[in-house]
Amino acid sequence: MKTRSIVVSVVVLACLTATAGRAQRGASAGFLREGIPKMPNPPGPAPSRDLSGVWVGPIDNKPDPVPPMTPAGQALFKERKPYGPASRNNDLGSSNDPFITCDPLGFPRNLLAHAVSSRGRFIFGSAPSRLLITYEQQRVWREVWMDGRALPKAVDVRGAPESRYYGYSIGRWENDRTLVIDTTGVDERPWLDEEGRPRSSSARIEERYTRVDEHNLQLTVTMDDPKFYTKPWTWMRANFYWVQGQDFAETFCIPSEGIEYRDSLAKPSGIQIR
Amino acid sequence: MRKTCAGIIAGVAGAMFLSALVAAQGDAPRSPWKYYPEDARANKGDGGPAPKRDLTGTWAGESSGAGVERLVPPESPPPLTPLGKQLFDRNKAEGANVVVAESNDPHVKYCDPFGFPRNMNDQIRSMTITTLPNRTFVLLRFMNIWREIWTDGRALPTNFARGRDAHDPTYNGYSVGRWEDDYTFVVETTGIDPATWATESGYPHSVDARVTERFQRKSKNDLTLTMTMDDPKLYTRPLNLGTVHFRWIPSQTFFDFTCIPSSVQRYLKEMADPAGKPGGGAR
Repeated sequence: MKTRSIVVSVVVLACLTATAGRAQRGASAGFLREGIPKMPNPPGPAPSRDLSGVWVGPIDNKPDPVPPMTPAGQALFKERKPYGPASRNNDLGSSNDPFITCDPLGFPRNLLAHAVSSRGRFIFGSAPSRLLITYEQQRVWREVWMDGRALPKAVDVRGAPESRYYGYSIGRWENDRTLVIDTTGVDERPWLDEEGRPRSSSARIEERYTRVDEHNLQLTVTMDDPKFYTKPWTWMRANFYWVQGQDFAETFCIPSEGIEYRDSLAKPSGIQIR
Repeated sequence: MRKTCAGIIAGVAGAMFLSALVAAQGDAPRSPWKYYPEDARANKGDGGPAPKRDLTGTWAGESSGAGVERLVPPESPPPLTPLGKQLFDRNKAEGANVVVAESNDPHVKYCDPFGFPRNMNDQIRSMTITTLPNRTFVLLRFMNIWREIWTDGRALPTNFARGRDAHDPTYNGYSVGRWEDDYTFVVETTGIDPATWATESGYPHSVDARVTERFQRKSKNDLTLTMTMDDPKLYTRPLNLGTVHFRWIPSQTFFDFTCIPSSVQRYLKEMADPAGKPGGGAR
C-alpha cells in the first residue's frame, strides 16, 4: 500500500507542480499527461448548473471546532485508537482504524485528504435522475438522486433500506451555481475523521458545492448528528480546483499490502509511520 | 464450496433479498431506496428499441434476482503457453479441491479488489454506466468501484516497463472505447496489474494483455457484454472470457454489496480451518 501510495502521490503532486522540466519530457498524449496545462487567468465564469470535471482538493480546509459529544458519542469515541498516536508510539498494530486494513473510508471521511493520497479528486457524471460522483481516493463512487425524492426516514428497520458505507443522497440546485446534497443512512462502522470520531446512521450530512468560476469550487459540509453530538457544525469548509488535464491516478488501498505492512514491518521493527 | 467474500456477501445479499420479499408480502411500505427483485423480474420483454449510442443507466446482472439470463463463463481449459501454465498452476482458486484457507486468491484471502477483467464477470450483480463528453464510466456495485473508458480518440499506452515515461500497471488497466455502430460499444484495455487474476478460476495475465469488451444493446431492456483477452505471452491464441447478460432495472436502484477486509480477516481466523480438507474441519 505504501509503495503504491507514494508513487501515486508523486504523480498527483507532479501534475500540480509547475515544473517546466516535466513538461519538456514529451509525455504520450492522454493518460496522466504530464506538465502543467495553461489555465486561463482570470478563469471564465461558472457554467450554469454544471460541476462536471475533475476537481482536486480539499485545499485550505477550515472546519469549525467539533462540538461536545453526547454520552453515546463519547462512549464510541473511547473505543477508537487512531493511527496517528499509534504510529508515534511505534505500534501501528495497536490502532484499530479500519482504514489500516483498507476497509472502506465511508462518507464523509472519503472527502478528507487522507494520508494515502493528499489530493482527492472527483468528477460528476449523470445517469437517469441522478448525479454520480467518482472519487480518486479508493476508486469509489456515490449516487445522488435528483428526482425530488425524500431521504429515507430510517434505515436498518423493517421495510427500510440498510445503512451503507456511502449513505443515501439527494440533491438539488439551489441556484445556477450551487448544488446542495443531503445524505443520511451511513453505516456506523467507518470513522468520521482520522481521530476516530463517530457518526450515526441517522446523521444528516449536507454538502454545499458552489462553483465560484470556471476553475474554482467551494465545498461546505455540515454535520447534524444529535445522537452523537450536542449541536450541528461545519465539518469542512474547503476549496477545490479544476484540473485541466482531467486525469485520475488509480488510488487503491490494497488490503493485502496494508495488512502485510502492518503485521510484518511496522509493528515488529517499531518503524515510525508518517 | 462457498467463497469467503461470496459467503459473507451472499449472506448479506440473501438477507436483503429476503427482507425485500418480506416487505413485498407483508405490510411494510415500499421504499424507493430499495431494490425489489420481483419488480425487476416483472419487467418482461424488450421494452422497445434500444436508444442509439446510449448505455447509460443501472443494469441488473448475474445473481441479481432479476431473472437475467445466465452468464457464459470463460472458456475452459484455457489455451496456455508453457509460461502461462506455470503461472496458472500457482494460482489456487477456491473450489472443489481447495478450501478457503488454502486459497491464494488475493480477493478471497484479503478482499483485494478483483481488478479488470474479473470485475466484469465475478460478482457482477449490478453496474451503472454514465458518460461525460470524453469518457464513459462503468460503476460497479460490488466494492463500489468505478472504471474509466476514454472516448476522446486517444491511443492505448504501450509502455509499462520501468522507465521515466512508462505507465504504472493498474488494477483496472487503461481503457479506450468507441462506438462500432449505433448499438455496439467496443472497449480495449491494457496495462492491467499482473497481480490480479483475469478470472475467478485464476487465469493469469501479463501486463501487456489486451482485453476487448463488446457491449451490445439489443433493446431498451437488454445489454450483452462479451469479452476476449489477447495475451500471447501466456496464451497461444485469444481467449474467450465469456458473455454476461444485463437487464434494465426499472427503479434504477440496486442494493450495496461489498467485501470488507477486516471481516474477511476475522472470518479466516475464526471460522475457516487452516488445516481442513474438503468435507472436514470446522466450517
